[in-house]
Amino acid sequence: MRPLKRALTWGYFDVIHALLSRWHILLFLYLVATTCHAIEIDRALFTKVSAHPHSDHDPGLALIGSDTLNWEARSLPDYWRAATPQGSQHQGGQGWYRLDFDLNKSSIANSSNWAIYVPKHSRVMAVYVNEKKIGDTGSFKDPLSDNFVMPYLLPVHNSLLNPGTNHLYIRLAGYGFDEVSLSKVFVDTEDNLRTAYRLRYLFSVGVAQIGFYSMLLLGVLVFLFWLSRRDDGQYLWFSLTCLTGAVFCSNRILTDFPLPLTAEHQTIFYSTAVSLFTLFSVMFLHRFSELKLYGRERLYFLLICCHGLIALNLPEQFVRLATNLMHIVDASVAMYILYVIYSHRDRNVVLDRYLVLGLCCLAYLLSFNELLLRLMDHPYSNWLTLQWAPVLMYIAFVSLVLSRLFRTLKGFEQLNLDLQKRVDYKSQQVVELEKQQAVVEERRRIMFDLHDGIGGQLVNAINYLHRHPGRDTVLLETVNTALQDLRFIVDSIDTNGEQEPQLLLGMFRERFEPIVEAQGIRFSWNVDETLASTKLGPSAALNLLRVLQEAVTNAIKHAHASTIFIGTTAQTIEIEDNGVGIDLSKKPGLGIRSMRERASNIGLELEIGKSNRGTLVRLKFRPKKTAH
Amino acid sequence: MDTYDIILVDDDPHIRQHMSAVLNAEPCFHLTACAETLEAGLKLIKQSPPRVLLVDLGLPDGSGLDLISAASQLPQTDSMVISVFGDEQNVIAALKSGATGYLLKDGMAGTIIDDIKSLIAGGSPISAKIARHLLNRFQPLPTQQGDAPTLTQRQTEVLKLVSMGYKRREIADKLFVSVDTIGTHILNIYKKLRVNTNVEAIKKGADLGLL
Repeated sequence: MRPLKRALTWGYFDVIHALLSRWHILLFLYLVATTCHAIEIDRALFTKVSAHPHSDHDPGLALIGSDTLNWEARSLPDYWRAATPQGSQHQGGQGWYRLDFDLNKSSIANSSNWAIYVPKHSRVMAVYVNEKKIGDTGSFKDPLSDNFVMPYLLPVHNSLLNPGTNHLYIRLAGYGFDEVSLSKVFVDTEDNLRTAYRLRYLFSVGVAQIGFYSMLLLGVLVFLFWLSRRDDGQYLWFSLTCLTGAVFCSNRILTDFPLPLTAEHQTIFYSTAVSLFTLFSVMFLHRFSELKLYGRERLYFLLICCHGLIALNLPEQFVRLATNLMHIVDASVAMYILYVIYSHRDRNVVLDRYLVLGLCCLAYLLSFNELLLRLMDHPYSNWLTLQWAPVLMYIAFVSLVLSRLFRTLKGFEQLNLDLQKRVDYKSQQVVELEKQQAVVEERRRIMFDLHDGIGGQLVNAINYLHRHPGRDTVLLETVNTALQDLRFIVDSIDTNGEQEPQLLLGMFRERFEPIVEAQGIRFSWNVDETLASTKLGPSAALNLLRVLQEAVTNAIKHAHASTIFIGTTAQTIEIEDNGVGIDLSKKPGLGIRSMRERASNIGLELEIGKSNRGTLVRLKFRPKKTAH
Repeated sequence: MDTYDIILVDDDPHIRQHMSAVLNAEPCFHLTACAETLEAGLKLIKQSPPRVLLVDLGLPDGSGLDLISAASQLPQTDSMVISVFGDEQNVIAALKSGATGYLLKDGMAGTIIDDIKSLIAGGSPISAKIARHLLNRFQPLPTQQGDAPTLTQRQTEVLKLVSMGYKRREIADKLFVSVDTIGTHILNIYKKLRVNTNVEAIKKGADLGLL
């Protein structure tokens, strides 16, 4: 049953893995090319010496050298979990590998220092060449140092090597709940191996280092920024995203955890850091996209807490299961992050949209790759990629925040510009208003002067002439006309600006009716609101009043009328009398010519003609032209 | 026949002379006193409140408006401002202070007598320009609160017709009401002007933080 099941699982896995890690293949090919001269050791003899990873019972080289041990053949990379699936006690512990390689005399003599290159092992190893220790990768005491992504290049002094067969011993220790593995091992001169080592270091540890330092710095800076403006939650969560990302990346840099925690607790700690990173990413994105989905955040946070509490209390062999389950949840949330970014892509400019989505998708694939590797217990899981995810995510988020910041700044500048424009406009308005105010003040002053000065004098003169017998009628009429004229001037001036023609007609009637009535003539008034409401300024108003005055005076003087009809339509003012009617054959006199001119000055057409009743003077408003 | 006491306050001796001549010719009016200054005028209306106070706005020791304000406290007295032109500026100021109308200084004898009579009968004189001004003033602004008085539809109609030059009789005919009703409308509008002025003052005071 088992081989079939495994084959099936791996079948799926291989397809996914091939899709996900094209660049791994390229990198692998490159590494193969650079290490093709090296002696590649993919076979080893293995013996397990202790079920306990940090057992004091270390037989040492003395025991290794003896033939009492049961060496079994293994091919590298070797993976203890996969190799010993029966019981938990066999999964971790300590063991020794013996790797043999042949060298000839000339190759030892002619070359510079030799070296052993171990691309990947977990968790800690010590390396011996021909029974002399050349180095180790950390502490074998509990908690063991953790080297699950660290490549090592261990130099071997040429004096340790013999022509013929050399024995390379590797002591390896690891925990049952974690992976214990050894990759293929390469032996060559140090110079030949360095390139491959450095490249591998860069892609696994270097990326994590870059991520760690940049996220730490950015996290702190953004946090300080947030402190100064606490109402904007997105910066807090962005800062926490960075900081937890940094914590997670430290997992790939530090072989020894800086706090006295047991190895399981370290695993739970880092796994929680991944979950928190995902949580804070969600919280940041929610705030960035102005989504108030606090319920989802709380639920996820609750799950993280539950996972932490449960995992801390589980027996050690279940810790990995628990953290893997949590990582499945994290992966689902990460999928949700992609969904949020995708569904709110319209909030961002096009470049951001695709950059962010692309980076986050890539980050997701890389994390998913590692999750699959972990879930499948894959023996070739020598390319862990999760360290890329926070780096990519944080680049995406930084680009989002920066882009928004730039846009805000731009908007701010635009706003400033608009404000400046508005201020200019308003200032201009104020100047205009001041001018208008000055005009109004001047008009008031003139009115006052007219009122108390000339007006009063004229009234007195009229009264005087009235009171004294043998009065000079010509003088009286002249003074009366002067006062009348002054009244028109007063009426034409409106301190508020322009006046409607209807109102001017109203004022005209008030002023002129006593004169008309004195001649025994009456007005028939038919003014209505439909008259085009072209408002007239003081000078135009005075012109209109004078045209009306002339028309009515003509009716009084020449027409011998008994009624003067004044009426309006939508576009005209008509002054008609029931008198003898105008003689159109005569050349128009000065009065009519001046009427025409005044009318034309204010944009009115003047028509004079005979009607059924008598004479008709029609003032026509030209549509859609402003009168001056 | 009732006679009505009238007090005239004007610093121009010719006007006083003219008005006295016109008023004394009418038996139902009794010009009780004339004054040249604000102070004398105030004293006069306190001593013997007239039925009608005729007042010029430009007095040597102050504004006739103060006199109108003082007269508006007297229950029986109606004030009219005497103006050369009956122009909006002066008349509106007087109406706000409590005047109920205006007289033209050069008015012919008949016009002056008729105007005073119609004032006593409860109808205030009004001109086209003043009507227009009142229409603008009472136009409800969108920001205005409900407490500021506004015109009724009928009052608006009356003012519109006055502003277009219609006489009181013609308006009465157009609206199918009596001439007296039109007079009452105008008087009521003048009263609102005073209320409106007060409301404005209170609002202004509140805006300035005085209240």
